[in-house]
Amino acid sequence: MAFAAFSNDKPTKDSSTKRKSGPVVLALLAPGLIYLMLFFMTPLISLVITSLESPDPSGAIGSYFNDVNFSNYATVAVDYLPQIMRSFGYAFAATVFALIISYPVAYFIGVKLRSRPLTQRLMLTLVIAPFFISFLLRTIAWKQLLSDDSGFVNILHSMGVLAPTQFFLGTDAAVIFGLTYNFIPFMTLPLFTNLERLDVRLLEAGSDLYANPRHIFTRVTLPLSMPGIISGTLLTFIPIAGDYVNASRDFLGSSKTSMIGTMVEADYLQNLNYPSASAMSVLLMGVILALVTLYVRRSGTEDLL
Amino acid sequence: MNQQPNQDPILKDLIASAKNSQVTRRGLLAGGGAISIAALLAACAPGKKTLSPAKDISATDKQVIWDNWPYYMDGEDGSFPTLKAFQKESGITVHYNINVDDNNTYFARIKNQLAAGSDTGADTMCLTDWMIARLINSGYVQELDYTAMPNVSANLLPSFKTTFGGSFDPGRKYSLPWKGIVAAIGYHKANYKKLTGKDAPATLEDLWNPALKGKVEVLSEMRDTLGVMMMGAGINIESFTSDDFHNTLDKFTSLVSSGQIRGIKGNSYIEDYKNGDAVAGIVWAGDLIGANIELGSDVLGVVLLDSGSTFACDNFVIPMGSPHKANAEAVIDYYFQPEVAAKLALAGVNYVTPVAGAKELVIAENPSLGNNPLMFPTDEIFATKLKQFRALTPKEDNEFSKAWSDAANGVV
Repeated sequence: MAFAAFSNDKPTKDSSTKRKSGPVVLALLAPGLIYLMLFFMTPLISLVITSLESPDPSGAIGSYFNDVNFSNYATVAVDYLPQIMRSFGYAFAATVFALIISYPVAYFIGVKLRSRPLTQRLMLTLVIAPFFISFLLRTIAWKQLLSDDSGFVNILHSMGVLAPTQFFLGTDAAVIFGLTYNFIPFMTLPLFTNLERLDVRLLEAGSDLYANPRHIFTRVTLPLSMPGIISGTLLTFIPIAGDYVNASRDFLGSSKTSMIGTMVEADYLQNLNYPSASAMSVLLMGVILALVTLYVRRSGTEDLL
Repeated sequence: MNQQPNQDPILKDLIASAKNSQVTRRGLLAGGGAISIAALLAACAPGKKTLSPAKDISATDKQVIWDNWPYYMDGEDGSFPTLKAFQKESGITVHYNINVDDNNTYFARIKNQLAAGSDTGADTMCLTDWMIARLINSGYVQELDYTAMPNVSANLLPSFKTTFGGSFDPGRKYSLPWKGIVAAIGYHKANYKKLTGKDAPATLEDLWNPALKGKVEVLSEMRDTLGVMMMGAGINIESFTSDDFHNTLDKFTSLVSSGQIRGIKGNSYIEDYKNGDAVAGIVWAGDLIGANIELGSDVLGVVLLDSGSTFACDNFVIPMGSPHKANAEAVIDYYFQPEVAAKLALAGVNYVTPVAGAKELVIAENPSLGNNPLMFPTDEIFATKLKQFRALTPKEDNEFSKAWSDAANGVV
């Protein structure tokens, strides 16, 4: 299962540790099971049922009846294909940027600062500190900082990166920037917890065997940190693909940056087209599940986990 | 003022239905679980029955819950001077909730209770004309009692009853206007001059000037943006056809995809004019008047084009399930006094009041405000410049909203 990627515990195959599941175990599991039934299964089933509804013959807005109408899925998949592709494109780009930025930071804090625990903790706090402020407020702040008359845009204009009639807000770059920024800690923290336990003696052994630093990194450090990379990329990619704040016209996006979440919001709250919004949500869930399963299989990290 | 008291409408329904159903203890033990789940589902499921008004307990329960949009009340920091005065005068506690920020979103939240005729959690709310039309057509709201509202009978401006109310609520039997909103052309004076060399936009075409590319922002409210655009193209918005709508929408889509129009927003758009993201566009006049007062200068300009503008009202209605109808009518009537309406206008609620006599009182205190034709339109402006977007059939409503939302989200 993909979710196993989040844990670093090795699944134990030793049958001697297995115990019979008695009433105590069931009692301990009950709160979790009931919670999942109530707050995961019920909405999920309701979502699937809604996604199969058909419009009421009266044509009144927001009126639908129970049906088995699979064409809702075809309709959203065709109509919103550009938005679906864009969502995964943004999610891919933002995840890659987050990884490129986070890895050196996590390595520095987790490995280089080991001898200075106080500095290490301070640096870690600095990574998380911005996230004590609300997600929305931070995004609105960026909207102000990146506005057309801002210093940042003026610099881009004077450097010739942007033509005088071009601006930053509302572009793909602005949305990917916002997504990367907002999800970086979800990449940095799993990487840190992994790299913090990296056995540096293995690196020393590598150099003793005449491996150059590049080889040590690709042959030793990188493979050992794969579980951290997998957890980090999953924790960023999945929520980014469904995000609708950064790409919203009220924040960093424009009409040209709508994502899947934007369409779900529009269908659910504006057009009162619940079947379409639900079909879109189920589709998003299915595609993410498929991508994640493929990713975990392909990266061959199941043995590592 | 006070926040809405902690009474979940669904819970109230359940308590009521539990009280009404005479179940024996044995029956309850036998099949009570199934029954209560069925009751819960019934309370949630929209029915097709004709609804009747809930029992009015106003006389014994001296309170009323009023849901409204932001920027519509004096002292929104919580002081609410006019509401406090009403409370003192009438003994009725008003729970004033600023929790409407979008007609559709608000409707989506309460539509099951509305359809069941049960309490939505508010005794009265102010929503826009077209949404009011939907509520009246569905039979979700109670008929108002004019005998209980002498100030309304005396001071409701006639045009709000005929021109701007007659189409969806003849004789204003079910709804009363709270404030009127003029959509107009807004612009940042200095930036507009810098980009175009002109002082102010004079026609709609001026917004499509290439010099303003990427600096034009319009409202996310379909009826206002497309209404103003249709009027600019000489189409009568009181009787336009489906083709007129789609032609205008095509024009809008091409302006968005060319990058001429960059922003499409329904709130906090004034910020964009302040920080340079927007220079000109379609705005709600009251917002810009308010922003200028706040900035203490005339940085922003607002013009009513010769081609005209849309005019819409946010209107009071009392849903069928409201148990405080008489209290709601009392507070509505209170705000139909010219003195109270003038107080709101002077306190920064810069939208059009439907109360006769308020204008004169505002002129006496603040002539520039009172003579602002966008806050107090003259009869001539009402007759020639301001038009109401025609009511849509349910089928059109569905089709047009979807087309508009797709255009705004860049779905082609």
